Amino acid sequence: MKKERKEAIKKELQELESRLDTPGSASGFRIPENYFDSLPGSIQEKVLEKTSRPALSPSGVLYRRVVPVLAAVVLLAGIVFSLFIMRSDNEFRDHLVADDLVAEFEYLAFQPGFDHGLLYDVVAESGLTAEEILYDLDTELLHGENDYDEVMESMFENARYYGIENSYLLSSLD
Amino acid sequence: MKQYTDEELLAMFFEGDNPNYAFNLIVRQYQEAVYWHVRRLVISHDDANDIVQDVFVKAWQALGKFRKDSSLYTWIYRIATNETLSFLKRKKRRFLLPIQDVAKQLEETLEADVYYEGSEMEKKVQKAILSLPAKQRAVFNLRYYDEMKYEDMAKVLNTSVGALKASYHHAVKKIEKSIAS
Repeated sequence: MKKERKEAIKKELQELESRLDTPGSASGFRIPENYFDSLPGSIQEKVLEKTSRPALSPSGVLYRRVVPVLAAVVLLAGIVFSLFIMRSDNEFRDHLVADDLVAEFEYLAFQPGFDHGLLYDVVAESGLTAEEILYDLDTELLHGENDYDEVMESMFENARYYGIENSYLLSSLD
Repeated sequence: MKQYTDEELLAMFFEGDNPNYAFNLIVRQYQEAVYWHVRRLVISHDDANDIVQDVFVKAWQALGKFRKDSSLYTWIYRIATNETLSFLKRKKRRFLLPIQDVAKQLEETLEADVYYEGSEMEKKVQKAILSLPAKQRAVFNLRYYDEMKYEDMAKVLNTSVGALKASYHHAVKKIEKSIAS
């Protein structure tokens, strides 16, 4: 099996190389002298720098990063709920909830250092589907036909990064 | 430097006396592969250097939660690929660039990079590769330069083997066309 794979790769590369007329490994990039000798040291320094800061427990991270956003969402939801009490038009209510959340996401998205993980966290907690939110996002944020997929993909990546179960994520994307 | 298997490295990290030392071995074992993977995607040495450091910092932070039944090799490549694609997306968003302009900007970086000295032919090939969308470049590079199995690429890029084969095939066609023109 391994031999067959090697053969397949070799064949593909030979075909491509004969057409590109350049060896696969030659690409012309070079690096500063002794770069790979010093890189582990630089990484170690960066790791130490990160770990010497007061460690945040998962609940600390949740508190500092997610809770303020959720609080804002809850506040918005409260305002929207008040409006809902005043108006009995359910369709109007749903639209307004979505609009406020979208505005919140757009605000977050334009903040320096915006992390799509936050977007995911809020989506997961909001009860709205990611599809609904992304559908309404400002077109300036989503330019190009692939961007929708990119944002969705980014949400999946972040969910995995935060260790959130795929099934949980998928339930919010239904 | 002595080469270790992923199992040996993970055992040293999780069960040994000195996880810092074990992590240093992981860095030494994977730094070159990760660097070249990132460098081919972002072109600039300085950008690649920053991203590689971030990749290993993230790996350090997440290694405690690493599932030992997974492959360390694909896991590290996955972090590197995600970091790099995120970097390119941020760059594209920051400057509101369509794909053609991203390619042009990377070509300019290639021309200006003091750490690039490819021949005219190599430059032509690189520019042809740069004309591909970022994710397709990652597919092409992993297969062509890193000679990675499609099954491993599927884990790194979270894409099916069939889609990767199709993407690689289209990438080769586009590169050929670009070189011929």
